[in-house]
Amino acid sequence: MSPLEWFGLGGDADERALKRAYAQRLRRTRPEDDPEGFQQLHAMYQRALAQCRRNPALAPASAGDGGGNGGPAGDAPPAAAAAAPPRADGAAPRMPAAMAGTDLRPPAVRFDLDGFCTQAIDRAASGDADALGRWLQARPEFWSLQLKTEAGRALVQRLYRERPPMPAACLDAILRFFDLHHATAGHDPLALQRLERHMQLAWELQPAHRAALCARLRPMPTVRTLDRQLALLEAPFRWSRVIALAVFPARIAMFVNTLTRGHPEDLPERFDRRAIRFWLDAADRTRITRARLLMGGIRWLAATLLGALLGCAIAWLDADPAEAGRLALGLGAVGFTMGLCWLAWMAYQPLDRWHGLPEHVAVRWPWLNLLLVPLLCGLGLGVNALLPHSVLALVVPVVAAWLAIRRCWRRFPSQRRPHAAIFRVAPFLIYPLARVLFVDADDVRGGFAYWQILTVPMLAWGLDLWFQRAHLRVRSRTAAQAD
Amino acid sequence: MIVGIDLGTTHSLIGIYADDGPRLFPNPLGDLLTPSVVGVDDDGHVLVGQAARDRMVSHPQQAVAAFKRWMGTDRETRLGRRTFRPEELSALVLRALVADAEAALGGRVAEAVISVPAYFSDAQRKATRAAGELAGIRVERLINEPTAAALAYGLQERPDGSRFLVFDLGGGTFDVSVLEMFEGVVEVHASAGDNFLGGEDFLDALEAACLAGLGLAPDALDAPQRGQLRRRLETAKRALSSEEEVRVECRLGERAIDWRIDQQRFAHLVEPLLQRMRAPLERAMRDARLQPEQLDEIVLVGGASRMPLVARLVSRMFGRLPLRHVHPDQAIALGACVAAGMKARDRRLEEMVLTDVCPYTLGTEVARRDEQGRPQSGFFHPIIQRNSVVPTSREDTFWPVQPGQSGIVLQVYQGESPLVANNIKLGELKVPVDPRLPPEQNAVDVRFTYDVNGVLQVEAAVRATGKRHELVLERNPGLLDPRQIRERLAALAELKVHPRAKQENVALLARAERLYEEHLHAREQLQQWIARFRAALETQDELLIREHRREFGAALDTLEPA
Repeated sequence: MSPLEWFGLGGDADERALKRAYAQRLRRTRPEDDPEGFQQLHAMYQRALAQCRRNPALAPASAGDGGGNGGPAGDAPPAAAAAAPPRADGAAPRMPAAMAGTDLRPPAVRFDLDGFCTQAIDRAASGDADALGRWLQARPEFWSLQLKTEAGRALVQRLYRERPPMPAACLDAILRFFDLHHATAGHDPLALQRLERHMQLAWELQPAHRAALCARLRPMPTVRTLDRQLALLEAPFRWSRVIALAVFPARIAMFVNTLTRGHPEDLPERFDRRAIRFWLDAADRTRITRARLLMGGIRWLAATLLGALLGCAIAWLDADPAEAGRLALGLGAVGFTMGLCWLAWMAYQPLDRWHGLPEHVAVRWPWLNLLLVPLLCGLGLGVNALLPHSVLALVVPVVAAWLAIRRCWRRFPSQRRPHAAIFRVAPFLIYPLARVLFVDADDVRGGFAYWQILTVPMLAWGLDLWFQRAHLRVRSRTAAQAD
Repeated sequence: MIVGIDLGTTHSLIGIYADDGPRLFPNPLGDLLTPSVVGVDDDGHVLVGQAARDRMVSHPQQAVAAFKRWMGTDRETRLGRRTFRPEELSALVLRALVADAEAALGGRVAEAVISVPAYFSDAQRKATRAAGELAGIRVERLINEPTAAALAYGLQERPDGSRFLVFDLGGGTFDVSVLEMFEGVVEVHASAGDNFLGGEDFLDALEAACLAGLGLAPDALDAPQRGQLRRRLETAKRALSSEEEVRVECRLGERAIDWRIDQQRFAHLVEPLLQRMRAPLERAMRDARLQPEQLDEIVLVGGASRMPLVARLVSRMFGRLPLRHVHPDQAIALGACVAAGMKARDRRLEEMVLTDVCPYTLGTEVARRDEQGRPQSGFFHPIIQRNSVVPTSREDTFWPVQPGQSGIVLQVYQGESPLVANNIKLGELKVPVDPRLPPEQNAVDVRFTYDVNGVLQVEAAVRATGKRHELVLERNPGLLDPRQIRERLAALAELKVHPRAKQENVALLARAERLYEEHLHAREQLQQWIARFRAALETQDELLIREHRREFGAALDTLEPA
């Protein structure tokens, strides 16, 4: 049934007839007496109105009714009105005949939208939001509602396209004037935030606004330092320079992050993304990146060489060439071991994070994740059997224990956060821990106590399994569903 | 018997839908407009209306005005020995109005329809209802002021099949509504407004300019002097509507004030205020999806709309001169009376049906994923768009942000900003969900239902389990709960109020005291008159008092020609 038929009207009914039918039904279905019935009636009425207005035969009768823009404020959001394409006669709206002679409205000349946008952007670049607001308010063309809507849309589109330098206050003034700063204006608030950040940063980076930028970047001492820093970031890409600067990456990364408010992608095009990415990667301790490996390798090499060189120098001062060689070798070995430790530490961090991921996050290699600790314990037993009393046989269970405890702690249900529970568990851990840490060295090497060491990781692992038992069941269930 | 009340920022009126259409009741002084001012006199009696307004000049600490602007807030005002919430002050005004109506009707009045600005928020509407309860009347309905004005206008002009805009600039609030009338249906298409824009702001601008023009710091004048100056400026503001230039001449304490202002300068001063009116007008037109030429009429109501500047602004925006067949001060009250008649199911209003809109957007807080896929919280997600026809009911679906989330907190907000931080929080509903399900299977359907009386109901249904949760937002934090209302009602009952028969004497004395402050040269004379009138009051001889009152009033009129 078409909406018009619902009202008992023919397909060629006009708006007047529809309104009469609606009014009659409305008297029986008053909004305060029958809310549900009224809502249905009103929705139907809106649809019937739209149908009426779409009907070309009746178009002249309702020519004034918004060019088929649908019914008056109703089910469709008001935003739809703002987003609808402008009418073909984009100039100021027609004047009623009676008023045509009076000079209340500017003459209906075609408005130069592009020129207006350029002017507005130029004014906004000066940074004075109040002046911009006054300038907009003083423009007589914008007393026309339609033109104002159109101009606002054109200006915002242009801002998205060009992202000219503009302080946030000016963007706000523009949005406010064109009434685009509300939730139903149809803009993605995230995109708008991004645009605002981007334009604000571009504006701040202009040489004229260094002092303001400096004031924001506390504790940046002077404009000169800031200039130097920015020059470094802006300089053309050269590996030698990039690497030289990355020796202490934390400082440069912090500068980039405070400058861009944590969004380095907002930097204008002239900054080389490769270099900035490299520095940020080198400073990022949470991931293993090429930049980090490269910088670590370079530092390690430098430290080892320096150590060796130092050894040589000392030995040369002692005038004992044979000793010199050994010392150089020794210091070099220390450097090498340090590097190995660093590598192991770097590898351990992602392992720890992966292993401590919550149960419901899609983990890579879920079974390995679940059984890593027992596997490591098995490995420990194996190593101990092959190489009894070796350091390796001790390292493996310690790593396993540490991983298991961390996992248990990190994955603990967030409602009953850890501390209390850890204290409840602690008494049971004291004995095995004490055995591991303070046990008689002979006992350990004796081998018969090795399983006792393994109780620590297994205990922590079992504890975690107990806490997560609910999720274990689910995993199998969802797996079944997937099948 | 349901009465219609216009509870305004500066003036209030009361009336009823009588046999011959809407009829307004005068107060004891014979005026239809009762100033919305509350004061206390020296022996602790509460004064309402003109007496309190005069008291504001002579004893600024003992009277308070414009409290409508604080409705919905916790602000308390000290008057005499106790403090009052804005609801209580409004309740005192309502009581005075109801007493006038009861005197005119000769019966008890227990129910009322009260008008509120269309753009009043949820909290402000609830505070207005609470004020009604505190005044001992049941508020049958709150009607939006521009809608009320439209009812009055519609009944008077019977425009059929027309669209029109009501521009309501009152003492403290500004409202715009776009309406359509056909076949007895009054359909509101859109409302917009500014709750802090009205005649008082124009007066503030004038006062600031006057002080600056005289080279005085804002705090150079003490409170009574400021009250006097404002009164003079108010007169000057009204005079500026018809005269090219106005001169303000008076003595404030030791200072002789002589200041001039012409229309052009006034227009320049209030330009920012006029600019602020543009946004609501444009918004209402956009939301109604109408072009100016599609409007048949523009109706101006509210006392402040008398300023020619306002009419000029409207002509400029709409390309035509506004229409003003309705009485700007009374239109809203008359409309409230019509609404009361409709509520009482008056036979002659049977044909009329009113549909109104919800003037603001209602929604919840959501998190959105940014370009890196990280969830960012604090965004406002509209569910009921502003200017939806009420009653309305909308549904939307939400999912948990993270896997393993044990619940969803639906924070209910009212406002227009895309960021919830700038909107008004109405309440929250916690919906537990199964943390073991992946987020995409954990949908929660949320339904917002907004009824004719402005009560919002939030319903949430978890799709996986079918479990329902509900939240009815009837009372906001910071507003009075029923128990508190009972307590306050008891406290208000203890207040001493002059009997209605004495009101005229009280008002006359208050006026004389104000004149005593304002007219230095006639102080001795006034003192004598006051003493003589008080002596006449002591005799309690009604005839003698009436005689004296007439003489006293005439004498005061010589000092202050009406």
